[in-house]
Amino acid sequence: MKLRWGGMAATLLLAACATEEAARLGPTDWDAAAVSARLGAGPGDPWCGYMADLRAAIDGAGPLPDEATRMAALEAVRAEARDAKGGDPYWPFRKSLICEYAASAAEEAAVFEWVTVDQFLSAAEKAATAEPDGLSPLVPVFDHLSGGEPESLAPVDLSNPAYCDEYETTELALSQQRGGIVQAVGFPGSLQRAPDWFAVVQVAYHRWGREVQERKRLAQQRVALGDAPLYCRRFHSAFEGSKQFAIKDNLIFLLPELDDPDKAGHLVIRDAEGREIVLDKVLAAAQFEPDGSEGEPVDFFPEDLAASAALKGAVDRTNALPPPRVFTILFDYNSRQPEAGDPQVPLLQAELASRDPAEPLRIALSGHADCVGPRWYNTMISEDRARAVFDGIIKPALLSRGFSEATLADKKRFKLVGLGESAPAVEPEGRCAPTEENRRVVVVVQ
Amino acid sequence: MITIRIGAALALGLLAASGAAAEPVKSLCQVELKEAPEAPARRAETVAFMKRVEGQVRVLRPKASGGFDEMKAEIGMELRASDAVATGGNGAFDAIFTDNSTLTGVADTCVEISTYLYDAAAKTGEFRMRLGRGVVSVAAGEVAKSAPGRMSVMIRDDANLAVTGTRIVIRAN
Repeated sequence: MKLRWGGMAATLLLAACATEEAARLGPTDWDAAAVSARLGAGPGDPWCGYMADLRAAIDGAGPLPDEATRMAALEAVRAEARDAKGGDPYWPFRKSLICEYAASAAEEAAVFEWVTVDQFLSAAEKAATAEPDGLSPLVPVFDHLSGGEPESLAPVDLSNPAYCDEYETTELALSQQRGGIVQAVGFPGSLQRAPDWFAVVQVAYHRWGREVQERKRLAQQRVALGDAPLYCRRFHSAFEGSKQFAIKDNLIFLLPELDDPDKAGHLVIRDAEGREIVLDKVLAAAQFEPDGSEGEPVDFFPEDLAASAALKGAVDRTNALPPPRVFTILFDYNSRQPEAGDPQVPLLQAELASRDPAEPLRIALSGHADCVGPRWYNTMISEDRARAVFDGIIKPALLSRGFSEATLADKKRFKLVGLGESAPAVEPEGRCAPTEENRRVVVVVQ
Repeated sequence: MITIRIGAALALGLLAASGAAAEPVKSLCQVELKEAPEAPARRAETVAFMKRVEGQVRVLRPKASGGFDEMKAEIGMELRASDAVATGGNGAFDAIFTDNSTLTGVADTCVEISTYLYDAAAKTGEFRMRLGRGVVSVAAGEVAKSAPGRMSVMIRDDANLAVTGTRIVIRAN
């Protein structure tokens, strides 16, 4: 038995409200079997029968279809895609969604949840025709949380389905599982390898969202929550099972260096078995078992990156982030003013000219001296050098950009320190001698 | 332009398994740990700040008495060693660390700063973060340049996914 919105009175009230909406629809529009047949999955369709068996197994109500049965059913629906659907690689996933949504709509119709029936059949229609949009393939169900995100982001243990049992944790988990699903279905290959599992995941997630809304209403009305959270549990089992078909959960890949699109760093990863994986090319990637036990290099292509909204989003974001910049300004012997014509000074000025007062700019200046002279003097002159760069170069540049005096006096954001001779850029060889590279101010602009 | 040059990097070795099976400990982002982490020596020190924040982003800060405070992240907000950052479905953030490392997180992500020590004068330190779920991009700064193995991003606590990197994207679930 499933959760309902609050007894017969509420059901009738909602049914009455839905009737207005229904008036715009024909009588067969809410007939799940008729809609399913129109979309390509008629009565007795073998693939929908297989999906029903899989769903029952995921719910713990029957045995899991064996591999031979699964592959035979999958091959038949793939043949259908080739022969009748113009080779649409997504047809098996589309049909899986049609089966799942039609079955869900039929269940809801049996308890007069007409609004929900309409929603599920609309989703089936979209599944049949919509283009994958990169974020929520075929059916945009993942955005149903819009405006209803939980206030908190307190992390929940997503490995333990006990989160289903309490209203607070199931609401948090609903939000926190979403990223994982979008990641899993974001790779084109996942939906082709396991259209059956991912369709159950997607539709169970959709129904779980409705389940949470129902529980929220019941909690607000102080009505006992009653039945077990069926769809949360179904989602959890299906999502865990689907992971065998997804690109592995844990994936690492290299980006090009900022100053050279063809150059990547050098990365060595060692897995638990002691195997080493070396990554040293742009987009070179490795993936790992969920328990971290085994790692392997994996082919990873620009197409995979483009298909995954989360990965592409991370790359775009990091590429758009102005990198911290470091400038080293040199000083003549015993001088408190930068060397005339130091090429770093105009570069620093150009960097500051691009900064906006609205951004949380931070600048750290560390002044240095060479080893000639007493330590106390070197500390003092290094402080003076940092101050000279701040007062003579940075402050005027930022004031002209609209930064206020008060902002520039914020010592948390604009830090000056004199390190004397304690941190030389070049270690003196043998006897101490004047060293130009050590008479410097290092400016870090973040 | 900063050029990040990272030589051969080492992963952390597998930690020796402890004797009796203890009750699993969960980190802030709900990663299973073998044992409770030690409190960072300089917990209150600022280690990074939020350069950009969009949508729903929360900073989780452990309390000395146990549990954690959950704060709305804002641009310019300072982060401390042992903080975690969690994002919702429309959330994203960029943080810059004192060693010039950058950390970018996208939607539905939870990442913890597990260790951060940086000696700016010596340009050495130790930086370990743990990704609970989601996707982050990490650009290594001075700590990673100081020596192999000084910076790592862990997904599991047994550290076999620990890496030292340059500009990398990591996803975990």
